[in-house]
Amino acid sequence: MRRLPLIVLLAVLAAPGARAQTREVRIDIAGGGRRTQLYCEALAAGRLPAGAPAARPADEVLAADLEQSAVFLVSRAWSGQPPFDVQAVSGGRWKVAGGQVTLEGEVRDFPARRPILSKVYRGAAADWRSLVHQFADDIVLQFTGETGVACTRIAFIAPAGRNKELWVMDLDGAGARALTADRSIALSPSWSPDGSLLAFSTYRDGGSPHLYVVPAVGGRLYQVSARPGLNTSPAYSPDGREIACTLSKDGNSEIYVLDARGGSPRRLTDNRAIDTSPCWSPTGREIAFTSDRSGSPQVYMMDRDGGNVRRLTFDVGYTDSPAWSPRGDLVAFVSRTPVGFDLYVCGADGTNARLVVSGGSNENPRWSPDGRHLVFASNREGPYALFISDLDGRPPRKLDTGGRAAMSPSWSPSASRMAVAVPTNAPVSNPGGRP
Amino acid sequence: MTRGALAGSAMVHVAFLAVIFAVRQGEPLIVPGPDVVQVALIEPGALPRGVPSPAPAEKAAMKVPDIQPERAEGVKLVPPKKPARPAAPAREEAAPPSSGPSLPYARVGSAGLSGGLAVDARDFEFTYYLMLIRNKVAQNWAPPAGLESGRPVRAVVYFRVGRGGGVSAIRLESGSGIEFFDRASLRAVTLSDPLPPLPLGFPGSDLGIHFGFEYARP
Repeated sequence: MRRLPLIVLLAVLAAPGARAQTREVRIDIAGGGRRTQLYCEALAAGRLPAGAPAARPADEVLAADLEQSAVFLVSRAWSGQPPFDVQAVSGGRWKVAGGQVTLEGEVRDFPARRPILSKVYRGAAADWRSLVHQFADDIVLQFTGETGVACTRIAFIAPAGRNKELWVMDLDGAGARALTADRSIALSPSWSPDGSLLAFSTYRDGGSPHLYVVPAVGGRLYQVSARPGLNTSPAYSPDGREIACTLSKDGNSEIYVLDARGGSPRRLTDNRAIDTSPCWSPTGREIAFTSDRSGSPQVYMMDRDGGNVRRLTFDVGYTDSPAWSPRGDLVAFVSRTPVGFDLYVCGADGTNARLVVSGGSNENPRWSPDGRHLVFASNREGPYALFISDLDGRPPRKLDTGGRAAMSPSWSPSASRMAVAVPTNAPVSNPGGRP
Repeated sequence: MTRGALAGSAMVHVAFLAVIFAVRQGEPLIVPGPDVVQVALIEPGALPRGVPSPAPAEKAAMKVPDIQPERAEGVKLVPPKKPARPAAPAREEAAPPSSGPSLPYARVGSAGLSGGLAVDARDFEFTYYLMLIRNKVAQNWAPPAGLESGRPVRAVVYFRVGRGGGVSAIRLESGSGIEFFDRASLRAVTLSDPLPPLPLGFPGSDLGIHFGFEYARP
């Protein structure tokens, strides 16, 4: 018992020092720099039928997936010799017959080549990329204990002229498609936890923004909230039964929780300041949000019933866009700079804030489902585009959005979660949401 | 070289010891060394683990931090600088008990942790897997605040990893004597569940691991 005050005192003494140095700190959250050297050998393919997906593109997709996982340092057998400290080799066979692709994936240790992983994937030839992504995710699982994110998708807002439409694509940029064609302005998409739906805010009805939901594979939109004033920044709860959002129907932006169809609004904040950008903790018991109740916008947290409000960030002048990590231990947020915003991560108790990305303006961070990466929008290389940080001090990587400008990303849940999750809500013909 | 030289060397050794015991100086004696002194250099990691504690007589040289060849085999032209060296105590003996392959202690991360581990299975050959475990556990290890010990602190935690990577049977195998250090070590293992699945080529249903945590200020 006598030790406790000492520890607390040390923690208090240590914390300001850590914050004061945030600009110089090297981020080492996921143990960066400890990547496993993996040597990708080409998949062996016999004679393939005409028009069948070839093996080499599959090799490239696999190598790119493994590279972006931030778990491996990848070298490609088809473009060089293995580096001297290779620890594992991937490879296998690629067969196409009768419109079906079979991938027999293997990973072995090196140089002894004892088997580490061996798995067979089958699917329609048209879905060959997803077979490769699954193999990549299984390799990541084999080396980390947690599945990878190669099978995930990214939703984002693509500005085009004066309009902004909602798009979705695979993490590697393939399969990009627009989900809206409203010639209007769509904002802030949020995935349902089963990966089947996207909630977003849009000006398609004219006047003020309303909340809509669209199936992630495309289809008819349906309205969930068109209350007077703003209906913005939706966020599905982790169980998919509720949507937190910002409504100004009472004259001032406040955080509300609606049911997944937009009904039974429950008001969580009640003051004269602006409260917005709600974001759930992974347990669903707490909500982080932005409020200017102290004079400048800052990130706060509260319980899911609106109680126990506390401020998360103190030392940084103006903070916004909280994103709670899927493991629950970290919160990402942005802080204003003279030219835009820098991206920070801190502990869920507000301690140990660390600069993750600076340069240009870096906005709207969202976590990958495995908590290893952050996707965000940035103008660091010109027009707004999407970037991924692996939180290990390496420079962010630009995502391929097919040359489109892109903002306001949202990362889908992991594929395994999607597979087991049961949709908790479905489009309704008679939209609720009217008070 | 010649027997004479060896004998001379031995005599000087003895003389040195005598001087040390007589004078009991705290400071190390510095003898200008020629180029060829240190023979039979043994890597600290290569020293046999579980070396018995040194005899109690050599307290005089407590300050000497160096490792040293214990047997003067090979050439010695000049008396070694630090005659009473066997006193350098307590670094090697707490290696994780092992019947199978092991990974020696190595610095992991920036928090002052060195991790070493050994496995129960004699036939476990996947070194990459041991490195993954060492790195993952190290990531989840938070140095207890206030731990400012001058000498390294070490605890060993035992646990089992199932085929799918699940961790079970976690227990403290040998404590450091500092309760919150032991708890931080146990917590690092608990937080690392699940670990990577066992490699396909390992036939066992699970793998027992002795993980040594050693802290020295970074």
